[in-house]
Amino acid sequence: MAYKVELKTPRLSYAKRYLEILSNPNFIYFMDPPPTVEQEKDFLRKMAAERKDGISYVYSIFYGDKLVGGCGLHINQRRRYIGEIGYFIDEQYWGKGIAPKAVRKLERFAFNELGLKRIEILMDLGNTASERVAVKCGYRKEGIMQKAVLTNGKLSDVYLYAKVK
Amino acid sequence: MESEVELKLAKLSHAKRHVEILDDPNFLYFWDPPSLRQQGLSYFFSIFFGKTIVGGCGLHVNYRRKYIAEIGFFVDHDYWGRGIATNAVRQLEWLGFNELELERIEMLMDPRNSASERVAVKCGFQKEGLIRNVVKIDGNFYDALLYAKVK
Repeated sequence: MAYKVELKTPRLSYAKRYLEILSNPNFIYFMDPPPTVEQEKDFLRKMAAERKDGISYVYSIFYGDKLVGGCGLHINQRRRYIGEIGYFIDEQYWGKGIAPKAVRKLERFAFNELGLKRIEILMDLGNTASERVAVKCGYRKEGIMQKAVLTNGKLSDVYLYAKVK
Repeated sequence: MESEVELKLAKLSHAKRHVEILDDPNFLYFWDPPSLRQQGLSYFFSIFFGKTIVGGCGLHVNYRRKYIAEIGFFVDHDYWGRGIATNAVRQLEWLGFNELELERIEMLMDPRNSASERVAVKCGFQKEGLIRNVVKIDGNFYDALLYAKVK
């Protein structure tokens, strides 16, 4: 049976569960995986501040009553009509369409409530799971950006996908 | 004799001359808000050709990814074809890669702006794609070519 996908504002108490999800070595995750719960809490505090300032809107993804991942919308600070969406899902919950649902919810918020004109998704060239999510949600590949994203401490080339309104 | 191209931090007193240059219908200019300068994320210069201000250029550091910046520039129409923009971009690039330790510098331009594109190519930037709805001018949104150079 399928459960409902919901986005909730993260609480500091979620940090431990995030760490659990992100320390999976199969992950191609932008950023180094958070080494400690305390550092993950710092990240969540920073994101709470950025939400107040309208810079980032980060959410926890719930599948039924389980916390299965995170996602966020980051507003381009030079061009405030552009946002970037990022997401990660616990590997055990892949293949259930959870990420596309989360992306669609973020997208609705971005286009309809924030009035954005363009949403980007960047992913590592090898991250076919993430690419499938982007394609499913109607994003179009615009190019390859060289050395654009820090993945596991190294700058890597990424696909640039975007959807415009 | 060719005059030297120099970048000087833009002063308020340069504003009048900047407007004079930009008030040219031939321009395809991407306007940028000054608010980010306060955060140390933008470095904006006037371009001097000898003693004359002939344009402006800037390096804008990406807020989320501080190893990425975008270069923008404009040069007085009367001074086109002398390699001034190319020279200015090379100076900004030097600042970006060596002083600010950037890893990637981007340039966006209108797809019809072949003058700007020539500057990018001459400076060794590579075309990465055509990106949609990325630039806002007078309330309208336009596509742009994305060029980039990495360290």
